[in-house]
Amino acid sequence: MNNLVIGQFIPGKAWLYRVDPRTKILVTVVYVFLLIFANTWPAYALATLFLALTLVLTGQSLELYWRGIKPVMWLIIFTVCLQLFFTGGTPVLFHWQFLKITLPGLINALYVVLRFVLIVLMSTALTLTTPPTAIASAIESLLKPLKAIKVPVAELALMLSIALRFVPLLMLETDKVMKAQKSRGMSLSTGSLIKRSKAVLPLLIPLFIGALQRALDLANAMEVRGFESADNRTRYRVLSFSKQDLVAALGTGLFVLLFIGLLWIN
Amino acid sequence: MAINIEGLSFHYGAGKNAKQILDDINLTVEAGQITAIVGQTGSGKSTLVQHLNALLLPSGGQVVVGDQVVTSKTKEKALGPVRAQVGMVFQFPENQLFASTVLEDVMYGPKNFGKNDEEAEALAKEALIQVGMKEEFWQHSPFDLSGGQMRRVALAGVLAMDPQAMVFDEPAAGLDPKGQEELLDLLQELKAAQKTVVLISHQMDQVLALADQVVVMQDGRVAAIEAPDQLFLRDRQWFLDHALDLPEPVAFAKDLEDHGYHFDHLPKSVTDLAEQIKCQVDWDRVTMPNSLTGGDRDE
Ligand SMILES: Nc1ncnc2c1ncn2[C@@H]1O[C@H](COP(=O)(O)OP(=O)(O)OP(=O)(O)O)[C@@H](O)[C@H]1O
Ligand SMILES: [Mg+2]
Repeated sequence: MNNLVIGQFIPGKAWLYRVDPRTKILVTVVYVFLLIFANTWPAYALATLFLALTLVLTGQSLELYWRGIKPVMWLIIFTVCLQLFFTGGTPVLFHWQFLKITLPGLINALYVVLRFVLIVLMSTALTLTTPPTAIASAIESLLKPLKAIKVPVAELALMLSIALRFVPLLMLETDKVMKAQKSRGMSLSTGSLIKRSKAVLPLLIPLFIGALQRALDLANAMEVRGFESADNRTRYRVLSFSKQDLVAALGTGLFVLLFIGLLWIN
Repeated sequence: MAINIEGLSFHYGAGKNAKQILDDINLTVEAGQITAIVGQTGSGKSTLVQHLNALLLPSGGQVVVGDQVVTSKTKEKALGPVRAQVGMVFQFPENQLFASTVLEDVMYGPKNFGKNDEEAEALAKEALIQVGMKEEFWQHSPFDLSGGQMRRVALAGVLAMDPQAMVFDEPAAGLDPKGQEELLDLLQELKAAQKTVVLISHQMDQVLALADQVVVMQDGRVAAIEAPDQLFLRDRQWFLDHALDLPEPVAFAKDLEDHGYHFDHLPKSVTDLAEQIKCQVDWDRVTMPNSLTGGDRDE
């Protein structure tokens, strides 16, 4: 259960840890956005290079990232199959009954895998080096302009950080309730599909009730301590840009220029 | 039904990140007895007992429950019978309630283990009566009950499975003194009904009063397996080393022993302690404050 690498924060001291979370989020967004347009091998090579550099700057072992990719392997294989078998065109490389694999299909499948892996790893690098609370306050800070059109940015950010805070708690809770119900004979791995989905109820209901109870408790606790509005609150950790952010911005800018250049040539 | 743990080791995770929690555990949970498991927090008690009903599978070694052997390779499908025979009551079991009525919730376990509706209902009612839940509550939603009542219902949910053995992981936590007492009574009832009982507890007074056998855990290993009368004869330093308290009467007796008193057997309760002290006191030399004696002992 705790083996999930994606979304997990692992404390460290490497360079990327010192970059402001806002910078990291922006870079990740730009990176993911650009990848959508990647349609040539050189573009993918460049994107891979940029990712490799990022991963090195996280100071974590490559094995960790491998573990991060493993759980989504099935998803990858599934999309690959879709791409492989359902893309038309010529030449046909392989034909068996109704299944056929074409060269465009193959290339497409490879692109999809690469894109998928690159995006997953990039976001993993972000969450691995940035504590959830920092991500929440970075998002708040980035969305501030939306306040002008009356979007309750501060409240949204608070909700986000509370939700993030509850994730590990919920996982612990799931484990506990699961064990209690298994002891009473719950079995999620046997029986028909309908039976199995029904079997989840004894797990879900206590979890929901527990979560609701927690939420109520938290709301009360905040209220008795005088919480009124999420707006204009001071913070314990103030975000600030520094030299690292300049370097990161320049590096990313260079990457963006090269990338667009490559797309252009094509 | 006895449970045998043979060469059990357990670690979370795999490869380099593996975290060894239990190491070479050998012990027998005797049939029809109360086995207490004690040890400081983090010593692996909960991890150990979760092997007794195959919630966790051993990384090495095996657990023999009745005539079923559980090893690291045992398939999920084969675990049902083990879980039917060994009931497990966790700390704060009330967060396992889910059904729309109390009765239905208690019937969940027996039905899962192959009882039909009528049998399950009969078992459920019996269990509810055993934990002292009155009939007027049976059709209530379990979520409308008080905390203590919820705990009873949850307990009934495990009792209704009518398992051969029951494991309690710190069941008394958060209960009021009366609730604790009732729980201890229940354990004794179970023993009287020839059930095998395993109890994790930090309260040594309970352990001394109830247990036939005590397993002391330390850092994922078994530090001692002894009857409580044996165990609590050990010197104070040993208990300090293992971060364990002494039962109140025993601690008091040990203090007195340092002052020349002698105890034939370990005092099991405060009354027992008082009895033993009484025969040793040289009453002629005792001057009691009047307020204490009420003047009765002025011979
Ligand atoms: N899911 C898990 N993943 C990794 N380590 C765990 C997990 N659950 C428990 N541990 C570790 O296993 C060790 C033993 O835990 P366990 O819960 O068995 O202790 P315990 O003796 O029951 O303690 P307590 O008296 O506090 O209940 C602890 O060091 C704990 O951190
Ligand atoms: Mg425990």
